[in-house]
Amino acid sequence: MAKYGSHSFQITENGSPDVLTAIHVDSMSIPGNVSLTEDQSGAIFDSLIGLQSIQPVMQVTTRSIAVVLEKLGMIGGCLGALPLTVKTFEQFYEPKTSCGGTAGTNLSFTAASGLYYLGSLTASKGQEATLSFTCDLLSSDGSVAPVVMGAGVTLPTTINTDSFALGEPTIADLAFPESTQLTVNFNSSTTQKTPGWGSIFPVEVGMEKVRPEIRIENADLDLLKAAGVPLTAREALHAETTLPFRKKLNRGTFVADATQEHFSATASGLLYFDTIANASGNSEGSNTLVLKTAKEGSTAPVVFSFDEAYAG
Amino acid sequence: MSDEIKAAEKAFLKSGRSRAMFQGIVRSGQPADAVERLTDGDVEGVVADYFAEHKATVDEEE
Repeated sequence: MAKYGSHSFQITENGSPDVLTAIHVDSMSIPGNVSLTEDQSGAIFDSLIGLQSIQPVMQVTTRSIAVVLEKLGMIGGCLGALPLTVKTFEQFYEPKTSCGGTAGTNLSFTAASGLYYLGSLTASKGQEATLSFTCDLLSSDGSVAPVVMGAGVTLPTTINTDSFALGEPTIADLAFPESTQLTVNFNSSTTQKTPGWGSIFPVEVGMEKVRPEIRIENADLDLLKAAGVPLTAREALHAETTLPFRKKLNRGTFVADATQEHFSATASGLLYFDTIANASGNSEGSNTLVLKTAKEGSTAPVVFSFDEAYAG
Repeated sequence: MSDEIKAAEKAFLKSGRSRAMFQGIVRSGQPADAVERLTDGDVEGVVADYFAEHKATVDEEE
């Protein structure tokens, strides 16, 4: 039996020619999401088993945050053949060298139809930030399998290994030097997946809502005040809220601040306490603030800007 | 990247759409005044016109 490990994830965009971008991943998976029909008889043992639906999804977590945000955007999108869209997602796995087992070949799992959307962006102090995203896979006609495996495939050779660390966030013109972790949960919700007639695969799914929420874990308890965050919350505008992401160097520290390879996010919404204060035993106290975002005029709740100098 | 294109990109990204989509529209030249209109904030109009013009181009080629 061969053993495998993850290699990379590839985003192919429609173009002349198509644009292929492989990224390094922390984790990737394809849950099958199989539901079965059950024997409804009163007999002690079931004699009937049926497949009711198979709704696989692709899930990926990566540190190549900027390139994924550039390709996918925030409002979700469809895999397919339309121009300016993502054509396919592919997960690549490579065989591991092991003793006593059989040799394996490079494997790919490809999806050509589906709805992709962002999950969450997590940044802990002193660590590289990660971004997760999901693709609900579809069958193009109800019969074609939503995901197909290829064996003996050629692995991508150019792989994006960018990574970023979050600089000091500023929210509602307040700096958060004592924040320990910041998470942007995009809260992407989708419509119910529609199966094809006489099919077990979904053929349609759409984006319902994207409701980004930024959660800040903080060690500074001295914030519940008019000059900080009052109990009645505090408005945060895009011009007052910046999350600067500093690009790291492979085999080094950081890309020079003046080099325009960093990126940032701004956000708009209402900043309030989720937990005002918390401490137990000898551990440090903490609070949790949430920036519930919303559109500011015609501007999306969270906006990303790329290829910037770092000003954190 | 020119200042004009940078401004257009900044306006486009405020819609939450991908940078890849913006780059594709600019590269295609459809619509021809995309950069100017995006700088003025007409993101929805430019996206709609891109897809309409692209479809017309494909239909014509077929």
